Amino acid sequence: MTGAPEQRNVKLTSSEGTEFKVERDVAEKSVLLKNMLEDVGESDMAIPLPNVTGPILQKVIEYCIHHRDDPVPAHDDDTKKTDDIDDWDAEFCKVDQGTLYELILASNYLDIKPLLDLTCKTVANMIKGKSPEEIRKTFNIANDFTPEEEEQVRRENEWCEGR
Amino acid sequence: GGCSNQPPIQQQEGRVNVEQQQNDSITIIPGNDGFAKVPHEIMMNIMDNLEVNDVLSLSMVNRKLRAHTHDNYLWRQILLSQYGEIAIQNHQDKLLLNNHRKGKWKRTKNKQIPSVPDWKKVYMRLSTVKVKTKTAFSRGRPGTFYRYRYFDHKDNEPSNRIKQKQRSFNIEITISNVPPGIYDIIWRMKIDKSIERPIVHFSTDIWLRHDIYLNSYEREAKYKYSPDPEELVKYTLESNATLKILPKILPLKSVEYVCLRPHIPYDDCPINNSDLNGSEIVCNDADYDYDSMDESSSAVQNNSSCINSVIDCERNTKRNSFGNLKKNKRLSKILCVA
Repeated sequence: MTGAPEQRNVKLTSSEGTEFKVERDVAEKSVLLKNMLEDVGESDMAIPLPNVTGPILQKVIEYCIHHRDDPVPAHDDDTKKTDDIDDWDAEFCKVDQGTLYELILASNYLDIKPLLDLTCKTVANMIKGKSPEEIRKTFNIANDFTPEEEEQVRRENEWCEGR
Repeated sequence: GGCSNQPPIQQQEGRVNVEQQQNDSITIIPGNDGFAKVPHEIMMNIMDNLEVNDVLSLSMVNRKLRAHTHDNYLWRQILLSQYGEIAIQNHQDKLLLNNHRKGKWKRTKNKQIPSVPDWKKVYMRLSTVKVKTKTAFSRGRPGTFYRYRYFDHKDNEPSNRIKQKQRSFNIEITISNVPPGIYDIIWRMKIDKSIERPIVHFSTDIWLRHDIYLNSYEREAKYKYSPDPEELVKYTLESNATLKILPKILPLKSVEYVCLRPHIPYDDCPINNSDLNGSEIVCNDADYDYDSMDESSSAVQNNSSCINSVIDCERNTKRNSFGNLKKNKRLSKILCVA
């Protein structure tokens, strides 16, 4: 804690036990790790991340390195635009769905808001403009409604009673 | 770069795992899709990026996703984003007002006022424009007029003609100040038991009035739709079934109202009307004079957006008695889905 201006590496361990070394400012993109590092102080101990697999952690680190110089996002800036994904980010999200979900869960767990927003936007873009059946096809979702339930859902949505 | 130290074998294994997961999910196991693992707060983040129509779409995918879309806070946000703080304020004022006049209102509505409003309901109510309809013809109920048609009876002599009373609805609606979005035009109508298959044709003209001070309209689009008679009979027979075809017809007796509702993306109801346009239309009586109708609309609004929609619907039903007709004369109660 005694003001070490030079970057110290932080060690992270994925769920399989793979160790990753990252620079501290990269690791601190994750609010979880940032808080941890502040609490623990300098330590050579690897931080275990049992919820994140190696390949996913690798992706997350890749993202953090690319965005290491980004300003900390201001609180509550409601930019709800899904078309403002830049090229690098778009390319970054071109992964299979399984990986995308893992990335969402990992960024949620590690508390990396920009990555969470990015991945959520990507999923949202996959949903947009689709009918329920198209959504099922896109995401391999089974329709588990009974016919009665299906009818009920319809009725719920159709609030066209008299005003 | 400051990362790595990763054995390549490990990475390979990871990839394989992910792929396997993908392969597994192709044989759809309920509750095993990607969304199943996603916690609610993340679904909220995803849905934040969606339009209302998409949220409605999600609600019809499966149970899990439906549960996610039931978040009242989500609908409050949607309400706020589209109508602003004033919508929520208005709603609360209205509740207070209703509460105040309890005695008066109790007779008509015995509903308990919920402590937390159902914001989805509030939103859908606000965005559903129920339109006062009027007919282009001076007599009869709104939109209703009769015509007689003659048919040659197939099996008998050609001279044996049947006179059939044919009821048509010709409704003109004017909708103003509609927030941008995709809408469904909903017809709610009642249909009697008919002896033979009812034949229904819908024809919808959308006119845009660009300048309220000019009496000029531009016909923007014309939609025609004829539901399959077989389908119609099927749904007419099943009581209370909601028709899968569009425009929506419930097994009711006459046009009760026409309204504009945010588009609900049913699988069988495409957002664009392209495949309906292509459908074959048999418009037997193409003797309508559309131009004679647009004069009768008096647009009363002081805002610029105004859609004037002329909707025609025809129904041929064989009737054997007039009594039948009289019975259906007045239907004050709106049969709505509770």
